[in-house]
Amino acid sequence: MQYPQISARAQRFMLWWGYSLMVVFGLSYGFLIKLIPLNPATDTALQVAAFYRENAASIRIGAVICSWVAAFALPIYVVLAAQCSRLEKGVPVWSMLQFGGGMMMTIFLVLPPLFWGVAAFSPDRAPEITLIMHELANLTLTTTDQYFIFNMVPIAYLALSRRDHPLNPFPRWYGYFVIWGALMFELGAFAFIPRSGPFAWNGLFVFWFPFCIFGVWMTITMIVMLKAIRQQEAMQANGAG
Amino acid sequence: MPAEPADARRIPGEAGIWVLIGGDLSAFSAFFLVFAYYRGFDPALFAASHRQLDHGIGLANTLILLTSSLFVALAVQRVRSGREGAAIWLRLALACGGAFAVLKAVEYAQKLSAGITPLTNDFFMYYFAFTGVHLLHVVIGSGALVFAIGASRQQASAERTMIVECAAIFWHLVDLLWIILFALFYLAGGHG
Amino acid sequence: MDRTDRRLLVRWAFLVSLTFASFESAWGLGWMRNPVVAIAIVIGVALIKVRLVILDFMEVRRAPLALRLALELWVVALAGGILGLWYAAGA
Repeated sequence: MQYPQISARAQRFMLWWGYSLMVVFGLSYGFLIKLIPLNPATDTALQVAAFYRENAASIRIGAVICSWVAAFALPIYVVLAAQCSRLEKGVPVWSMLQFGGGMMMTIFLVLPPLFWGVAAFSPDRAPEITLIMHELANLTLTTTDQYFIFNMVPIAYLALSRRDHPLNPFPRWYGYFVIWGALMFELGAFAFIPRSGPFAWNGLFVFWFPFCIFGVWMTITMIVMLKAIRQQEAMQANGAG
Repeated sequence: MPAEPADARRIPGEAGIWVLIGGDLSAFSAFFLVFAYYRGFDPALFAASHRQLDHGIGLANTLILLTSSLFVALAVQRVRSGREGAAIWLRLALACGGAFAVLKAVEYAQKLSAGITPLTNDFFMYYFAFTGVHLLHVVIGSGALVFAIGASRQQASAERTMIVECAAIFWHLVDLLWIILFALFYLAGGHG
Repeated sequence: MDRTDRRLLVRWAFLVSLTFASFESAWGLGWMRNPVVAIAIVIGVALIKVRLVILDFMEVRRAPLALRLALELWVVALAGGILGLWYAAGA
């Protein structure tokens, strides 16, 4: 059977493009915006305003850099969609859902640095106004689980159901790992409820779990995809793919 | 060549599913320990809140899930030995999952209509959050059972057995997580 | 019903009776005078049940030793962790 060929070089380029922008994003978020982890949700308006006043320059520089790099996941999702679509017959609906979910999800990593930059833009405004922008940024970062599910369920489904497909790029355990990741990301939405403890926006389940699992997931995805692309290249060279 | 001994050790389901099981056990362990830790800040509040839970519903749900686990285990035996009836046991287990979800919804509705929400206090925040995440597992487990019912009607094969086993393992996970949630929220509130 | 089925049925009956026993120790009369003992029974029984579900329903009893050992250790560690935190704060 003949499968549509895709360029190994283009895929590799997109993966590294996305991943290196992610590293830049992480560095500017951590060292310039300085909100890893987020400030406690119990801070008063005055404390929040003081934070933005004292760090105004670095937060705004961080926002500039994030304006360039925050949509880093997009090319990675394109490669995933290309790989998934070869596992489907006819119109690749699961791959389309996967890509749509991933594409929308990137927006919620674009918005928080934008909002932090806005908060730091006018250090002398009334503190309550800065506070609401700060809250909007933090809750946008932590609670936006809407699209993950549409991104991750199709990947898990295709990974696990196309067991004997010669082009399946996903190991079995990766499918199960994605299901677990999708479940864990759902915890973030609880940030609307408490101001302290593990479900607050700087807490274990809302901040650290999704933050770490996202990083691990992206890294594992990179490794799995690069390995699959190498194998497919070999198959194409043998005229089998 | 000697036949494989009947008690040969093998990985239940397939290796990959244990990534999911291990990940979930770790996450829920963190839930349980967080609950025990934050109880320490206000044992009296936790004890009083615990007495507001409907422990009859909690007990019923525990028995429902235990029974569903038995049904699923019986189905696995049937699929493995090529006997009839696996799909029936799986459907019964699925019905148990539905009953669990209905009782949970009744319980949530009771709490909300009594003015008890996740915002009431820490105990109820953890109660709604942890049982909510568990309920999500019930939904996913039900999906896995539906998948297994489909597989159980196919021709006997190693793959068919593997699919049913994996769905079963996930369903037992749903059961065992509830056993601990039941003990922590409904039984171990303290009697102060 | 063959032998394996009957064994599963017996296991289930045992789990159900453990459930009632721990329920009784938490809510029934007489048992609850000593909260230190009651919490140990409640958590201990729950994790014994969990262990049996893992071994007999998930069939880990005959899984490779590393998997079985990891899960057995997990059960013990979790019981220790919960009870430790509980007693640290005062039962």
